Amino acid sequence: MLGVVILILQLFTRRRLSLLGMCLFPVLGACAVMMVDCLGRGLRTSFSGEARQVLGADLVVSFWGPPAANVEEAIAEQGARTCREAIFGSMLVSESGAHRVQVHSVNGAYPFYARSGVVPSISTWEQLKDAGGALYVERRLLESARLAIGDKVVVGGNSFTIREVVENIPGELTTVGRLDPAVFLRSADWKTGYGALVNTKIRVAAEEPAAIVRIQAMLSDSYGLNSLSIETPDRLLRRYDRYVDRFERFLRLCGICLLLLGLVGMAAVSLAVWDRELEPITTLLLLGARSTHIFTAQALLGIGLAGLSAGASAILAWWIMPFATEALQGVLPWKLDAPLEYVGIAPWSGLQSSVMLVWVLMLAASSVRAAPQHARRLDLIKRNNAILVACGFIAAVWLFTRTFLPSWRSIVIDVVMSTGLVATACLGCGLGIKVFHSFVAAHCGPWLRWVAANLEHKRLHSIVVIVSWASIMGVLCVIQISHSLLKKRMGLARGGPNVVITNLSLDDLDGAKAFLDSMQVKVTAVPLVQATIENVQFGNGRKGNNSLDGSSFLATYRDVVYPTETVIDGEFEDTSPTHSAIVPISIDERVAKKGLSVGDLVGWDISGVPVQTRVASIRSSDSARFYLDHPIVFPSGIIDKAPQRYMLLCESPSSVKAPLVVRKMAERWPRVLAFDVGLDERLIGELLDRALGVVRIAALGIAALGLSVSITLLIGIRRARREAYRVLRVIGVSGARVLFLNGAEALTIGTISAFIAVATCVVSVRWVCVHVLEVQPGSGMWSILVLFIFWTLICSSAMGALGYLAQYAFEPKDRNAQNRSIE
Amino acid sequence: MITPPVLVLRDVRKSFLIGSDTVSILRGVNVVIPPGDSVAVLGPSGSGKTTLLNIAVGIEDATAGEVELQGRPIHRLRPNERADMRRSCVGFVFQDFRLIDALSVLDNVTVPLRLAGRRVGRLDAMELLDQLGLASRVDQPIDRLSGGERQRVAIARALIGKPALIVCDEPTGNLDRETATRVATVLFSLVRSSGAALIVATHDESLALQCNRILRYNDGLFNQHSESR
Repeated sequence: MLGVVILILQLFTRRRLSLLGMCLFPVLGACAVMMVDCLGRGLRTSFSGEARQVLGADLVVSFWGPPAANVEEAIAEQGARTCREAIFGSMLVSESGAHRVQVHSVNGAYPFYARSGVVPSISTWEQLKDAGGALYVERRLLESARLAIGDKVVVGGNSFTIREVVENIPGELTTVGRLDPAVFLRSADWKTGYGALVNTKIRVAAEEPAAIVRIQAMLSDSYGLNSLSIETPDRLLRRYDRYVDRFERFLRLCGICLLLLGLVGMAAVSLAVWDRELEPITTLLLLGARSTHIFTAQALLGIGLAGLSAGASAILAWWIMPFATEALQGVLPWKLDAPLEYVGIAPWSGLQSSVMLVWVLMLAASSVRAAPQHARRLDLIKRNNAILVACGFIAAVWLFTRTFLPSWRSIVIDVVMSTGLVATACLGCGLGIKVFHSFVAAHCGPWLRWVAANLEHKRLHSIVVIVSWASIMGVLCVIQISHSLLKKRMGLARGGPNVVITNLSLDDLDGAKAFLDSMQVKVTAVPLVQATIENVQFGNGRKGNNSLDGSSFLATYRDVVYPTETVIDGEFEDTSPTHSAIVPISIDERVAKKGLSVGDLVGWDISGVPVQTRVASIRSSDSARFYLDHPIVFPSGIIDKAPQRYMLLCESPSSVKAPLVVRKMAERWPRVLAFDVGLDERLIGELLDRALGVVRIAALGIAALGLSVSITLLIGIRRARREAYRVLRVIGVSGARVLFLNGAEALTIGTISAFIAVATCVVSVRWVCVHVLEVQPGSGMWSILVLFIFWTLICSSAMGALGYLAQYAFEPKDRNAQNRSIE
Repeated sequence: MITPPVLVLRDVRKSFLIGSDTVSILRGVNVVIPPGDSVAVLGPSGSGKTTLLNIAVGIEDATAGEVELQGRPIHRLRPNERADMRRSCVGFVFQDFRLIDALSVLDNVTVPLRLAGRRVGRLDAMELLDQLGLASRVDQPIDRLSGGERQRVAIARALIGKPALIVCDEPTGNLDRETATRVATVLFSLVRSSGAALIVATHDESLALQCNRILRYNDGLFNQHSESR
């Protein structure tokens, strides 16, 4: 038996390149899944130890509106320390221009707990209480505004000196969601914004956990849950877990797709070289080797290969891990240390080993089948195979569930979904080839029929090539479309105003309009009124909850629907009724999702005046970020007398002049907030790019794997291709015709690939948007057609080039001919 | 003292079930091959020559009849025992050579010894290859050899273990006439000098005539003819 084992190993070493090439595919997949697992684990571990430090307090109470003056005293009576922080938007004016900032006005020692590496240190924060005129800023503000420490700036009409740079902001999980850089100042210098929306946070630290519970109960009783929100380290942790779950799930899906693609690739390449692999084994069997010896030797080889590939995937993951960590670091506020955990390697290596073992055992069983005298023993070998495979999988599943026990259910769902996706793609591809074959057979000439028959004959290979290409394109499409959809969701993909000015009082309105007019800026003024829900009576006998009571919204009045809006339910009523009637209002779909629908009666408190309304219509809008639409729209004449502020939608003649408009407005009216839409577009684009960095790495992995599968497969079947083309040339087909056939085959494969990629892409994008990103995919699917044509061309060219390379550049050496010439 | 025959086939029959029809390939073949004897199985393609050889060495089972290899009833042995018999006392030469591409010429020749767990006699192999005119190709990979050279390597592989029976299935089928003649000459001279029995399946009359006896296919039966030489 030893002789057989050594011979099999010797055969392996001679064929190591092709065998290791096949092993590489699952290695990449296992590596990706392992990395995702380890990154998720590292994220959770590093965060769970720092939840309180990230929050900076034991409890943070946020009020939408000014809280009662004695709330801090009431909290202090429970034996806790407090710090009040008012957060509002304002403009920072310096010599380099005007910049919108998020002002944090704090009155105490803040934060109570700091993360390791937080800059400045807590003691420095303490100095903020006493340092008049000092401003702490984020580094990105210094970079974008070209400022330095010690520079003097004006914020909201007050002068400040930049004292220090803030590296991490307590209570923020990530800076990705915040557009404006934060600045910190003491509340004695500037207590609150001038009529701007203010979010007041009271941070609480207490030695006793019971005190925190008492404070929460007291606040709930006194204020109700609609006017405040409470954040604790536990809640933050749960919320964070949800985000990580979504992120990890998305990446895991990519990883599993990669693994499945790898297995499909391995199977395809195995099929392509199957006969060549079986041939020497069959010879050994004919020469008298025992089938059991061959089987054992192959199994040993399989175990060795599995070990090698598992080790290789671990090493690869170890090598790629720093890059993935760095990409993640871009969206995280604290230092992430996410080493590769060995416990994470076990299940994937186990799974991978099982897969490799299955493959080699299949090879062994097939080799035994190759010798006819062993047909009777085949059943026994099959049974042995089944037992071995079952043992391998049980071990892998055991390790798998042991490691992932908390979320095994979601992983099973993901595996099923990914498998479904790949299987659907394969089936779709097979169907595509069949349809093409039938169509061509009925309607086209002999040469296209030859191409179709060729594809049909090698359907399995074609499917793998198409699926691997589709995976490359599908992933890139998913990224591109997700990106564009996100941008669209954020209101960036539209025209219209390029400067938006908010927080303008009625007194300043005429002056501002005249000023903007002098700068040749077209202005539309939108009035804004703060409205609070008093009560809701649900229509059509519905039983709703009263969670909306006390909720505040920005309302406006107008008689028209904006072009960017669509009425999706009811009818927009623009008639102004008498004051005694119930007023028809229009609500945004996001408000409707809170439980309101057409026909509901809503009672409002508008600056102390009760107004009874009826929901007449529900609108959907393209943009939410810049308040071009409003949650509640009243008809004109109802709330016109209420205290109101104005938003100006400005269309500057050129986007180049927009920053100048912003600066001039901020200098002249320091209390307004001005948005340069073009600048914000760029900022959001940068933030999205950072957030999508990790996804890109996963996508590139899949793309690289798909490409390598295609190349390996083409090289694997190059002999057959070359033979087929040689026969064509021998029977008199011209070189140009052969090239045409090659091109037609590439174009067919490219078209089917693009079709499958785009179909997969549409499904994936919708799924990712709805279930992972929790945004509604827009109607911007027109780009699908462009992508389809684009990828068809790309894929066809690439396939043609690869076919050419496989045919000529990697042409198998005809050593016989060379040798005969020597003889 | 009477030397026992190497191979005995008694009333060997073989039939296949194709659909609902039973097709008989061999209808009672009888042959006894003593050591040093050579028998050609002559017949057109599809007459059952390869099937007969496969049955003779235990690769396939006969539908009826008895087969004795070196005095042991091979049809009653278990598959692993048949493999052991093949390894220890049969050398093979195939029409398509069945050499292992991944191994060198020398490694291919010594495969039977390694399978049998015997000492790999590099000198013996070199000597054999030298007799076959392949001394300069010892370490070359198989895909650098011509068809004639490959068949000579296959002959060396068949002879290296000094088997009692050499089984050749169309050994010159893939070669041109001149090369076929050269290969056949080398094969017969080496087999004779080794004292092994030889059974050759062929449709080449001139090759068959070099054997002592011919089993000629005739109307569904293999009839034994008188000594050809």
